[in-house]
Amino acid sequence: MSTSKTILAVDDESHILHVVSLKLRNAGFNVITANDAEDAFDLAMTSGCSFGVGGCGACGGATIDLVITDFQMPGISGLELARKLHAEPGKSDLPVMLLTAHGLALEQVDLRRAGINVCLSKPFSPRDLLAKVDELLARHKRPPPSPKCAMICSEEVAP
Amino acid sequence: MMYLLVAAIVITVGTTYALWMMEQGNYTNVWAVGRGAILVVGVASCVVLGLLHLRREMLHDRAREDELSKLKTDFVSHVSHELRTPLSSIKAYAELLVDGEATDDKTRSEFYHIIQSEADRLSRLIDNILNISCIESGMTRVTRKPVALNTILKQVLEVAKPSAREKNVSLVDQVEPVFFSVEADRDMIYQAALNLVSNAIKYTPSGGTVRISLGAQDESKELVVQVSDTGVGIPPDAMKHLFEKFFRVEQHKSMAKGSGLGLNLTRQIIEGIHKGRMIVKSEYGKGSTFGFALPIAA
Ligand SMILES: Nc1ncnc2c1ncn2[C@@H]1O[C@H](COP(=O)(O)OP(=O)(O)O)[C@@H](O)[C@H]1O
Ligand SMILES: [Mg+2]
Repeated sequence: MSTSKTILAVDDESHILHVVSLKLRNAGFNVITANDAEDAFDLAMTSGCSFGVGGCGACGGATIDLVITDFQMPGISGLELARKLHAEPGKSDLPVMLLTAHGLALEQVDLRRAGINVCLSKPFSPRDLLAKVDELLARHKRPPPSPKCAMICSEEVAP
Repeated sequence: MMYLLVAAIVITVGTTYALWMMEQGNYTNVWAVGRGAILVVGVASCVVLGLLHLRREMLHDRAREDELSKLKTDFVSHVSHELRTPLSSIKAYAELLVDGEATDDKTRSEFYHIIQSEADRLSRLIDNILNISCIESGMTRVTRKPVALNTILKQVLEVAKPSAREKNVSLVDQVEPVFFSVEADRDMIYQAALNLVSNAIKYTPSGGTVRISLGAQDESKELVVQVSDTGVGIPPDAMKHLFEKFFRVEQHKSMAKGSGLGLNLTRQIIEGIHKGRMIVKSEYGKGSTFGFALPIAA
């Protein structure tokens, strides 16, 4: 089993998504991607044991350790995505990084309130992005899996 | 202001009249005093009305100012967002290439192409923003000469052909030779027509048809250019926003790239500069017709 951390990257610009995931994969991360916030939310909800209530298939998915999201996307925004995710049980301190072309227009207060840990302004340097990711992950330790989830998983895995 | 003036005059006359009546010792002339009182009351309500009106006007001006400044900040934040997006790709892919993170030839070549196409996107965007800003600030030099729309449209068709073929959309030339010309700036009309044709191709799925027609309307004395497509059409609630800067129909965003500036620029060219009118018809899911009419040169 690989111990690499899983990052969910969200952007409506496919080029950005591509370059972000390539940089992170080259650095040894496991990356999953979504084109909009709704897809991202669904992915986050079905990945990892603690939310694989719907079936055991979800147990196989890795827990997401970090979310990197664009701000302005069709449908719901990156801020709202962060807010929605943090409102879910067990996800309240999932680190979220905002990658935005709206740099100055966003208020610090709004960012903090939505639980955004780091905000990186576009155009960005992939090197900086990677450095910020490492830093953020070092600060946030993965919360231990909840006992209930561990139970479901072991039940399913047992022949 | 008028209310206040009238009120001031009436109040002076009214009180003078009432005082004069009293001075005359006509206290018993209830009718006269009553008249004075009525005048005073009338004047008072005049003043109140006037003040209210003034206040409303001030509030109205304030709202207009707020709206205008909001439009301006919206524009700036939009422009900065739209410029930063392709620039981010260019910067990020260039950095990965420099850092040697694209490990094989295929990936490298893919990166070069992305950088190139994003640079093109950026320069188109800058052109559009500059064009619009120049027109709005009256800095555009307009060269009016009699131009034949048929020749312009033939050129537009020629330029649009490759992208139509690539998408498997057939371009149908229904440009009839017309006798009349219009008094116009050639390059601008070319730009306007090209915008409509490339939109029609962009928002028409493979297998569809785009028709370009030109006709003269005798009664209204105008030449009419129409670009009809069998494309995705426009949802009714989006119709009124089509010409706003940066507006793009949400449902269309995934089918083609764009900035949402083309139609705004086109309308400024046709209606603002050439005193013509834009034509828009659409049926959601079936197709659209965009076009313009320009007055025939005398
Ligand atoms: N021929 C068409 N068929 C359907 N939708 C269209 C057509 N032309 C324009 N639109 C809609 O109007 C929006 C604004 O057009 P435009 O200002 O040219 O911007 P864009 O850069 O997106 O093409 C487009 O994003 C699209 O949603
Ligand atoms: Mg975006």
